[in-house]
Amino acid sequence: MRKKYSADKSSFGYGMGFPLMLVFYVVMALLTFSMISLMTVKHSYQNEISSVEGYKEYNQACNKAEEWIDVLRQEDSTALGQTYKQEFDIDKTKKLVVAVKFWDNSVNVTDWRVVVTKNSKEQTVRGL
Amino acid sequence: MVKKYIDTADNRHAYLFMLEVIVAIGIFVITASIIVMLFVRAKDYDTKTRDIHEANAYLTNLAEQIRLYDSSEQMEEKLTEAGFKKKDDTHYEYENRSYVYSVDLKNDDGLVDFNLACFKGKKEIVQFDVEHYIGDMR
Repeated sequence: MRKKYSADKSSFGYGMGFPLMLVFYVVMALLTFSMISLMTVKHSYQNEISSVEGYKEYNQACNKAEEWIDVLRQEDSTALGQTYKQEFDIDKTKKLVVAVKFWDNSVNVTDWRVVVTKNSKEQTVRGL
Repeated sequence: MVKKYIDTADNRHAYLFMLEVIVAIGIFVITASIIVMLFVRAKDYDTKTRDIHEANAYLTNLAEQIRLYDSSEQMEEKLTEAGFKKKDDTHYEYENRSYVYSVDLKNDDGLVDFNLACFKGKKEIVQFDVEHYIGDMR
């Protein structure tokens, strides 16, 4: 007897509905998993990048402070116990405040403090 | 005879079935290639993240140590302690697993510019300058 095509066999054809659906679910699960893993990894990558940028900004502020201290040193303005303070603009919102205190008239610096402020709010403090 | 064979209902449905399976497999192949691409990109990001993390952790730590150097002697001692080898008067290198860390010095009348960098192969991962005053290098 000849087999007849009937719609209730499967929407995919002759008895192939189940395996194809199974493959479909597996593929969809893998797709979801790969997307989630990509998003997670991308997020941690961006965190690392911002951590590097954050340190570079702080480092730039410290370098600026060292340069300014060096200028003071060369001007020989190292009066005992005197504190020098200067503000530098890093960008529109960020400001670097450097305070330096010399312990004697030599070129040594015993106490200095660097403060980076963003919109007048203290962000980073570094002292020696 | 051949014409009769082609025209049978069974063969017409077998052709449709074949077409359906080819379309379904085609869709799966496209999706699978997208999945492979996503995994490859995730792996790529993961490698980059590890490299940056490793380089940044080491270099920031080194930068903070550099800011505590009082003399050129101490600088030499601490860099040697950390595993750095002196390549020439202004260049130090340290190799750790697949990473190479380098320190280049530029002395400007005591204010030393330390250029810190981390390489993986020939690729530079992180680089920044640290300025620090060392009295006896004036």
